[in-house]
Amino acid sequence: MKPIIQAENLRKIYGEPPSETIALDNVSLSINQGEFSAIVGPSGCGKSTLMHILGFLDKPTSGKILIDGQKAEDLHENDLAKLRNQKIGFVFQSFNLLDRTSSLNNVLLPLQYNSQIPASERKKEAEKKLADVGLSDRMGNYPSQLSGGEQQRVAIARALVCNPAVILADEPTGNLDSKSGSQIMSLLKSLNQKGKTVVVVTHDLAIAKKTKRIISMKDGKIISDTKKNKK
Amino acid sequence: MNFKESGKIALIALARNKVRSFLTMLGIIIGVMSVVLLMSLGAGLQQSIKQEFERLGTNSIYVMPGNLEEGFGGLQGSQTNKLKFSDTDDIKKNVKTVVAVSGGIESSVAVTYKGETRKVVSFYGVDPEFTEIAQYKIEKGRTFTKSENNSGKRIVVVGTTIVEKLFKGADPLGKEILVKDKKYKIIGVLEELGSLLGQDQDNAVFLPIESARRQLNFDRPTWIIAKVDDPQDITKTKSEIRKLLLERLSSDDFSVLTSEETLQVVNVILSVVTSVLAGIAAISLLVGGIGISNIMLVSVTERTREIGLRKAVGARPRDILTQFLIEAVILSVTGGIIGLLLASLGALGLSFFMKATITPIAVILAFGFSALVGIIFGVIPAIRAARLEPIIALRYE
Repeated sequence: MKPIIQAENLRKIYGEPPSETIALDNVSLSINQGEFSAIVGPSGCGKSTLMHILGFLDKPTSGKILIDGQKAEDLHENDLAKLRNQKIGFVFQSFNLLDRTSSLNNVLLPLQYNSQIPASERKKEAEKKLADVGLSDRMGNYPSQLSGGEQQRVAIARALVCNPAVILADEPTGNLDSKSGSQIMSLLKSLNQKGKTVVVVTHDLAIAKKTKRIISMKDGKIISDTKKNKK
Repeated sequence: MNFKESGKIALIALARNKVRSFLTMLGIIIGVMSVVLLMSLGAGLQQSIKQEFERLGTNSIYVMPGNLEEGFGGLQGSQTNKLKFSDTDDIKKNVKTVVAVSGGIESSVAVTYKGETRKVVSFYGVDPEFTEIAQYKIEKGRTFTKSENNSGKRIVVVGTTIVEKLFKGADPLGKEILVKDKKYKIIGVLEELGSLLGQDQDNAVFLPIESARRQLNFDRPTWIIAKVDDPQDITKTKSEIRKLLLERLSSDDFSVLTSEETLQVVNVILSVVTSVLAGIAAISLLVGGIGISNIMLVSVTERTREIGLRKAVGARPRDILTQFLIEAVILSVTGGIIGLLLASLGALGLSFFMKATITPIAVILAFGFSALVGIIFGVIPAIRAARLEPIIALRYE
């Protein structure tokens, strides 16, 4: 299988010695195309930091990342913006939708920064992604008019709209009740079944068990990495 | 992301905070309005003065107290008037090219007819030749003669406003009015002159200069005006008058100016006054710009999470910079346009009282300046927004 993300010896250190905090301590990781993985661990173990670095929202202190075969270190801010736009679909715990902005316009947001998809096709593309997450009837609604589960589905549609190589979800169910949470996990699972690579960060083992690979972290290190046999 | 999309995003953001956007624009609106209005007033004044001088023709020479040729410094000299009534006769006798000459006393007096008083009326004591020099026309009756002037007869020529207000349109000829509480008989009415610099020129009384001197205690002429037949004689005549007066006065005591030079002196004074006033008004533009900067900084802080999100989904620093810069420019340019419209309305309203002309240069200046203010004061908040790290911006609460 082709690796979609390869991280080598990632280190992330906050602060200056002697009072520095090591958030990531030589983490190496490879995620293959079409995988559905979970990164788990107690809070403060560095799983979110790892996720942010994999999504180019944060920079490692040292180490290398390859995404879809492309080197990502020493890139200019403009090229990083392009990677975030075209290779990564990020799903946040707190949804991060623009308020007083319709679902459709929220999903259109990444397309505004994408020169690959012509302007004439953007609306159609966004409507299609909203339909994929089951919100065809909610396109004109503002986030305040949607339930938490619906808001997260808008956010997932937004993450999908530029057809990224990988979906990174940071505690996607953290702000949801268990029913909406499991709906979101089912949605992510079905995306994976359609071939999308999905990585979920969670502290909830029950959520993690719905994925096919569990990467456990503690104190900035990966302590175990288990792949489920295909059922 | 292209310019059109950035503009759309900026407009949506501004429309969300309508009251705030309007208040921010208010500084620019007031600034542009005052600058344009003041400049248009200045331009209007210059035009009407020019027209007035054109009416008088190019063959008049003015003698005024004080040294006006050195610009502003000369104005102080006019406080010590050293001209004499006899200077008028001296000029007439000794300068051959002068065909007509008149002294002039200028003041402001109260005029009463049958118990009704107009407190402020322009007062002119002039020689009989003045009507000819100034090209004033008589509507009714006649003007006074040389012998009437010499004998100090109590007669007066009035402007149309006096007839209108004190006589309510009735025939004023032969009636007696009180000028400075002394009786004068009306022998003529001047044709309507209109207003100049917002001043009604028909609200005036013209007395023989001798009567004014003897009965109303004016001891010096305010100016002397001389006329030549051929405009080509102007320069020669001017230097002869100067030479004649220098026998008695020092060069700092008086000025001899042609119509053109007088116009120039007035124009210089007017443009300096206009620029100073417009400059002061421009300070409010600056303050308006600071207001924009302030609100944009607040806006950037408020929308830190939005900026973080936009970056997380692929916005380049340049996209964020454009978005916020366009917001600032829209604010200031819209403010500029509204200010310009208000100034046009103001100029229209003022035109009932005085001439106000909106010049293209005022429009370009106001518009360019407000756009510049938007860019200069919008750039700091915009750079700040563009530099935010996505993860720090997203974590911001």
